Amino acid sequence: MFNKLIELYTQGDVAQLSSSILHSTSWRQHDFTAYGNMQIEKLWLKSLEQFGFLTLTKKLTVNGSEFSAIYFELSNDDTQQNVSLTFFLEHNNTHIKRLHCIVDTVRLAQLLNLTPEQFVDELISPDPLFLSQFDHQMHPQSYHAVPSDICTLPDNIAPTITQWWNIWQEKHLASFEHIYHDDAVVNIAGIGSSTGYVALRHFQLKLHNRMNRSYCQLEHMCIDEKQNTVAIQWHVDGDYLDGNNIKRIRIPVTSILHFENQKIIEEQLQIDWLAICKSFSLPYPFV
Amino acid sequence: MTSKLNNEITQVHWQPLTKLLEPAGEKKQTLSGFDEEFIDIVDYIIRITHRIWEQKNVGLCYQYYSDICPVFTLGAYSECVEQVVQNTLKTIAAFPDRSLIGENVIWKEEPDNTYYSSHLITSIMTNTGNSDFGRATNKTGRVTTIADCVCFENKIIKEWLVRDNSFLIAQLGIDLIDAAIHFSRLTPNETFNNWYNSEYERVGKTEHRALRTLTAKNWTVENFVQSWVQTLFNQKQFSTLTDFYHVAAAHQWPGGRRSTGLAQISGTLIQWLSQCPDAKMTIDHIAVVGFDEETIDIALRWSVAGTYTPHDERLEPLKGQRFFVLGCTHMRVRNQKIIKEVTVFDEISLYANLIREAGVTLPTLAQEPKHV
Repeated sequence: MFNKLIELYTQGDVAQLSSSILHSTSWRQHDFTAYGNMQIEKLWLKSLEQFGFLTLTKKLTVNGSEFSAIYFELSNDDTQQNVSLTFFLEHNNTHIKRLHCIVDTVRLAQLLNLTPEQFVDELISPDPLFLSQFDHQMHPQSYHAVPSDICTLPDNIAPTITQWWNIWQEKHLASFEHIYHDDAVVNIAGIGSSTGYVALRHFQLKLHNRMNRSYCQLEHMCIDEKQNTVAIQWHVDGDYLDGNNIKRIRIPVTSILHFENQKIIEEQLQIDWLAICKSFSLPYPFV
Repeated sequence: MTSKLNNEITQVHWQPLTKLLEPAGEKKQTLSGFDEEFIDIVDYIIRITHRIWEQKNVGLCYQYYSDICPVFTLGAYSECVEQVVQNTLKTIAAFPDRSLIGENVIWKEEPDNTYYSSHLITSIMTNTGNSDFGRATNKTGRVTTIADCVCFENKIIKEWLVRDNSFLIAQLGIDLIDAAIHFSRLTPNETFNNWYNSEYERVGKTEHRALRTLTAKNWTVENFVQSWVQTLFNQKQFSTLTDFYHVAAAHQWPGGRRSTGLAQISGTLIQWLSQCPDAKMTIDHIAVVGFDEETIDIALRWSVAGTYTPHDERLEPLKGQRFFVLGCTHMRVRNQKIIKEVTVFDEISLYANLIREAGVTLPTLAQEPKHV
């Protein structure tokens, strides 16, 4: 399945990937959900028109049972500019049932020599989203999803994944130092790649401070015990501060982690910033 | 749990459409009086839906609907196959590329030899013609529908139809209250009014204070579902969500309400119920089938009745009106907890009924079309 996805973007092999699409397959990209072959193929063709036929320069995979995930980067040989995509998919090895593709649209806009505002105008309209207000507080006897609720965690990485989630859900910032390798490669969509956790910690603070009443919720996870990789689909809800007004917003995130000796040695944190700007009429940059 | 339920019958989830349209297996159910080509009730529903809607053989309604076929929606009532044909044609004319993607069919064999089918459908369609929503928008939208049908001897003899119209019109760029005002000008027939009145009265009589206990030991589908209604909707005890939902359950409600996990689901239910704080709910039908070894799918048809308390100041004149909803829910349950829920009802008709009953004239935001 991973190769079919890669070959779509590198060779334009629509036919091969089409064979894995059901009448009821959903493909979510830029926070718009396409259903069935016709709508999904239209999304692919739009992506191919935007990306061109690029070269695969990096990939990180998580081969799970019910769900799998792949992160890859595609580069333009001439300009050396690249774009990254993350796919989180439910599949049965033959067909894809549901797929969420997150594109680093900030980098894609750069690749296309467009300003973020110009790119936002070109994006497809996202699905309508009605976000209800809720109590975001972690009351002592209320229950909020943690990784072990979502899937069975292997002993060697369970404590690290749990601490990783606590950084986001409970703001346990001190855990950064314990779970990231000093030389960890951390890439944040729209911001870029760095070594170690410092940039990620800064991002975490800016993200939560940009909103009031932020709340992180796990959706799905998959684990590849052979490669020591984990993919987590999650989102952040919060009140975006817009002068004296607030806007209730949701930020979908896919994180792909690579572990070694119980430490994170690589993290790809993928967010489609410009789709979020389009969804909620927000200015870019968000943080 | 009840994992061995009905595993022989066609399951839609992973099936390519080509296989669903040409089933190769043996006949799995008696299907007395049905055409020989159908191997089970799911096959019947999937193939007749495809033939009528995607192949545009609207006239096949004469073959697959009984002459007298009550169809209940929150917006209207129709009784005969001629109206089914006319309504189908009207919808196809306004949305000519409408696809009907069968997501799931949850069914039940009833004691009276009928089959009950609850069909969860996603449609993609482009609004190129004028419709009950107003003038053509030329926009493509997606909508979730649940069609609950009673099937007997190759025909649908009764149907309850719910569609997430508020989600559809949001994609078409139409304001929800404007659409409701537009809908409220349609005059329902006498049978609809009688049904609406009797249903409102029936649901209002629900004994909502009686406690129900749900434990791992007394867990049955019936007890689970009735406790879900009584505890959450009738008694508004939202801390008990953990008894019903997995901590990362996915929850889809009309109008684009998408929640994951207990906190968000709680918020959705509280915000929705607060517009009808005295809401009472009844479960009107339950069907259950196995999904996999650990998972079951439950289909519910339900009703809610109470008194309207507006949140939107445009709807303030409707305060105190009768609030009634016909809804359907599909839930996937694993280890006695809901992991995925899709609930569908028509918010446009809900507000249209309130406006019509109040007898008030509300202004629209958009300019009124001269000819629709």
